[in-house]
Order: sequence, then C-alpha cells, then structure tokens
Amino acid sequence: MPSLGISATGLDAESRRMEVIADNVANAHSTAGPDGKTYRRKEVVFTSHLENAIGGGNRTLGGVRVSDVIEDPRPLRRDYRPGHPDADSDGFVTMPNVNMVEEMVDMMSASRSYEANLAAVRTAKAMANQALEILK
Amino acid sequence: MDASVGLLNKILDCTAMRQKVLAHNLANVNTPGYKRMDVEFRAALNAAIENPDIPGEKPMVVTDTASPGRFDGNNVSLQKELGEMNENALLFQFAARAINLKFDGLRKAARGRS
Amino acid sequence: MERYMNAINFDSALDAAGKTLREKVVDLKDGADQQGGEAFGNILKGLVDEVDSLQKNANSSIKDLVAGNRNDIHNVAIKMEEASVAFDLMMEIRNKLVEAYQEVSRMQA
Repeated sequence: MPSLGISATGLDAESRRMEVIADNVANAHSTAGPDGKTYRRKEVVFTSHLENAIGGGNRTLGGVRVSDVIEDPRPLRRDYRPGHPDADSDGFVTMPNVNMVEEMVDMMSASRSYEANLAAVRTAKAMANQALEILK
Repeated sequence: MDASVGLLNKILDCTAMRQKVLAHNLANVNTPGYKRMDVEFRAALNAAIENPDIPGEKPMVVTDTASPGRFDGNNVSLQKELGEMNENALLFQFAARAINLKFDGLRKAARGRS
Repeated sequence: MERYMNAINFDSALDAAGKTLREKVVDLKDGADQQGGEAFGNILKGLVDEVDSLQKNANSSIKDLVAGNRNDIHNVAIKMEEASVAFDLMMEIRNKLVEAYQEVSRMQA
C-alpha cells in the first residue's frame, strides 16, 4: 500500500515536533546556553511534500516534511531579579519566550495527529490484508 | 462469472487511490495553508457500470477549497478525515471480498465437476 | 475464455462446447468435411493460448511488484487468480471435449 510511506512521513514529522516541544519545555528557564545567550523558543515548519510516484496516479503525493526548525521571533521576557547571576546592570534577567500553556496545547495537538497517522497505517494494513485474501 | 469483476476491480483501484490521498491529508493536518484533497470517482464507476470492458474515465484528484479553514489556512479536520478513511476502507474491503466470492464460484465450477 | 467465463450458466457453456464438438466429429465421420478434427484442435489451442497469455500477464505483474515498479497488490492478486482459475477451467473444458469425442467414437464402433 503506497499510503504507508505517506503516513510514515506524518509520524516522523509529528515526532520531531514533539522533540522540539520537549526542548522548549526543558529550556523554559535557561538564561545562559552554550552561546551564553538566553534560550529562544523553537518551532517546526511543516510543508507538504510531493515526489515522484511509482505506478502512475494523477498526483505525486509524498506526505509532509519538516522543512525547517526556526526560532520564535516574539520578544523575550524581562524579569526583575537583581540577585540573579545573569542579571544586567538594572537587575533584569532576560528569560526565554516559552509559554508553558502554549507548549502543552502544542503537545496535545502533536499527540493527536500522531495517533491519526497511526490509524491511517492500521487502515492501510487492513486493506492490504483483505486484498491478499483474494489469493486464498 | 459476469462483467462485474471489472467493476469491482475499478472500485479497488479508486479506493486504493483515495486511501493514499486521505493519508496525505492526515500527514498534513498541521501544515500551514494546506488545503485538503480528495478523489472523485463516481463518474469513473458509473462509466464502468455502463461499459465494463472499456477503461473509460479515470478517477480525479481534486483540491477541496470549500471546507472551512482554520486560522493558518489549513482545512483538514482530523475527525472528518478519519471518518472518510474508515468508510473508504470498508468499500475497498467489500470489493475485495466480493471478488474473492466470484473467483470462489469459478473455482468450484472448474474443480467440482466430472 | 472470456465467453466461457462470462456465461451466465457455466453448465450450459460446457454442454454447448461438447455439443458443438459432437456435431463436428459426426460430420467428419460422415466424410462431410475435414473441419471436425481441425475444430477440435483449434478449440483447444485457442484455450491454451488464452490461458498462456493470462499467466504471462500475471508473471510480469509479479515482477513489477517485486521490482517496485507498481504497488497495487490487489491488481496483482487478481491477475494471479484469473490465470489460476482460467487454467482450471481450461482443464475442465478439455476433459469435457475429450469425453464428447470418445462418446462419439464409441457410437461409431
């Protein structure tokens, strides 16, 4: 079943999205990364993928791809914490622009989408098995 | 034993193609701006009923711009898509079993004699 | 082969084949024409050719599937079954024809 490959790209993409979300949550309070700067929220960019099909068909569908992982351009937060080691001269610390609620919602969406692609895989398998019954 | 094996075969082709398109929709449920696609095969099947031996019309992949989109322009509804996929799979499985029945009849007729 | 496989009544198709053969063979024995024996051979040869082409069709579709040139399992399965059932039908028709021929031969004895 050709749709198995397509669903696999969906599973792949949603997995990567989960990884990025996990990264965001883990670094929600990182004020000094390896480059010395405050962590910036990351997000994935999905694009639909078209590739050469085998065996014909009107369109050449290839599922989805994570075309990029970009940094969220929204402004970082500034919290007043005078005793903090990374505080600037005014006592403000620049905190990551990670919003926990947003990350939770994203995670639920990624999880549901992952499940849906799994359902597609199961359906394709059931169809293929039924076709094989013809050879009984 | 009659021409409907051709029709059932066409149903298998059409539903197999539709499964691919629906899977593509599900994979792209979170792609910004993506518009869902579907397969029109009623015309192809009706043509197959009229003239079973002629390949005739092919099923068409169409883009669905009518369904409402979300804020990022994506108009794939997870629930709807899964529902369509289940219905489609059922039709495929029905056609496969029906073909098997037809062949069964021929096999019995061929072997059960003399 | 299509004629036989499409017949609404499979029994009558086999009987018709046998009846045609009987008539042809009787003509031959009466010395009416030589076409009886040729008709017998032609019927069988036609069947063998059709079954052969169905099997070649099935084999090449299997090769395509394995090579990755096609991915529609259902069509390959259908082609394989068609070839298999056609072969069985051919054997059955052959048996019927031979039966009819022998019956006529016995009548003449």
